[in-house]
Amino acid sequence: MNQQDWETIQSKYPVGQLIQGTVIQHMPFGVFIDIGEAGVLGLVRIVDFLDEGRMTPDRYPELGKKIAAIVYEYGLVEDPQIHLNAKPSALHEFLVPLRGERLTSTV
Amino acid sequence: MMDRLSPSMTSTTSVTIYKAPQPGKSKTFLANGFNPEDFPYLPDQPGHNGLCYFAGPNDRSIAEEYCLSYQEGVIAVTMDVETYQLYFEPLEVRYDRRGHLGCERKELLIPHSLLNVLNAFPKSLQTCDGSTLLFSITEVKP
Repeated sequence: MNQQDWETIQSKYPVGQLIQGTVIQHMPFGVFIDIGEAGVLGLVRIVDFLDEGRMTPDRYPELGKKIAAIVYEYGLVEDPQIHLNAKPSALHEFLVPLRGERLTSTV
Repeated sequence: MMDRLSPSMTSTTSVTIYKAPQPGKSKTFLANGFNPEDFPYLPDQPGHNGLCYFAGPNDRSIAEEYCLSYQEGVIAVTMDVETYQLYFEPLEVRYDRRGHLGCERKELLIPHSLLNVLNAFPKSLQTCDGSTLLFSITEVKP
């Protein structure tokens, strides 16, 4: 993938957008998500599942499971990944955008 | 080159970077350093990009977050600022836009070719919150 294509993908999936995908791989540091884009994977890092407490790989969503998460960062063009936030607070903020002060600064 | 990177080299200013080892890795890293086989490059397999991830000098909080899951402590590697600026600063990328004050946090994506540079410096294993030093290696294998 070249830089232009990567920037096109980033425009298609802007920070703060909710996207869905299928869990395709478990890693110690997180899970990879097939978001339906050739050459691009979503990644929910292990630290981005819970607002509080200890997340462990044995609690990852099962392979093949469809999940939704919020776009919050992008990897490098050499390893194009969209980093996703699956914390309850981020999902709630997207689904129920309360007026006033935000609880998180993620999205 | 190795003289320049000697850990005995005195420096008035140092830089420390941090890594939360994955389960079962802290002893390996402390004993043998960071080696390419620990970070395989398998282009057809997601998550095996051949890079060793470190939290940036001002962003220990990243390692602390992973440490909460991994429960292996945090490895700190301290080097002189000149070496950091020459080899590692160019590897800094944005980790996120969060952090305690909503500012950018940075991580380092270290390729195999620079692991020998990294291994030339002393490292220590600390508790997640940094309050206790668990183990320290100041003598580095040549």
